[in-house]
Amino acid sequence: MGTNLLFVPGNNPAMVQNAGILGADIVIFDLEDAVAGDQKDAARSLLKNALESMEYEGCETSVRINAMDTLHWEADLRTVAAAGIDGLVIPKAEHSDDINTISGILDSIPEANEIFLIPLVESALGVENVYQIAASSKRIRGIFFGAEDYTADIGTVRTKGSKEILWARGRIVNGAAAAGVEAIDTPFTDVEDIEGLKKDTLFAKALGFDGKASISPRHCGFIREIFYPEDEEILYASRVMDTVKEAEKAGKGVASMDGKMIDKPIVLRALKVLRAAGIKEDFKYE
Amino acid sequence: MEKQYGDKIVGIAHEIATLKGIGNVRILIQDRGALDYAIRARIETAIERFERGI
Repeated sequence: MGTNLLFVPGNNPAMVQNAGILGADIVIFDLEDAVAGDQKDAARSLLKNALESMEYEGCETSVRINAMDTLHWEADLRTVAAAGIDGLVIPKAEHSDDINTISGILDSIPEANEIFLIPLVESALGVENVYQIAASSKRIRGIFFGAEDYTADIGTVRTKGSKEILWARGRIVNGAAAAGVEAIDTPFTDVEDIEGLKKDTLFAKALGFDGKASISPRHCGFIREIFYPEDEEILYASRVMDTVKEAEKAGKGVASMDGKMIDKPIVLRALKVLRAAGIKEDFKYE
Repeated sequence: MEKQYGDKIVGIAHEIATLKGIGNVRILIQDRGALDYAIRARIETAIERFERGI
């Protein structure tokens, strides 16, 4: 999927038009929190026209639609899906049924065949249901953890130390992995604190997250640098995949490389490295 | 600005009004250097709000 996702306010023409050059792997045009209630229609129309008229090269585009308990979500979804978007971020995801509803609508829109979904899990109930949400649709590319709303929901205070979200982060990573999708970490909200961002991103990577979102273009490069694999890692992962595929072709049950057996965890790790490097690998472990 | 882009902006307004089936209305455009896509969006929104009586 890519390592860094950047929120761009969906009502800001200058940022919308420059979104493709801000260094993000996936741009998230925001129709939810960034847009006031009486400006939802204007922002939706702005995005529709931007998506229909502009090429965003070098990044994928997505839209965070409004939550399903509002009057806006379905108009958001239908408008941007038909206008040409790569993915949708679904806020306040709590139930697999909600994802199924959205998938069903997308299935009825011819232009929406390839649209991926990233449910944003940001409540106590969402965290409890994360596996069911992650496994609810083939359209799901990843689960995105939203810590600000989550900490408010469980009645605690968000801190830079992030101890209060440790359990939820682990559950998000686990649920996403069990469903075979990626886990995206919550943004680091202090735009000026680059050392804090690096520390938080390194910790998220160590927990098993595949990428991290940000609210500032300044953060994109640092996040990519941390999540992007080293050259040696990419080379090793490529050799692992070549070896496994050769063994499979030769009808061998077991593959080995450099005198070591290549078992499933090694293959899965190699696939994760290649994915983080943006290298497409269709190999499926039987 | 009006000399350079005035005709184009008015053309966009006419195009969208026609697409929406709107005639006999006055559209006031304050040019602040927006690109085509933003002008289209603003006019579309204005017409839709007009239709909804907002």
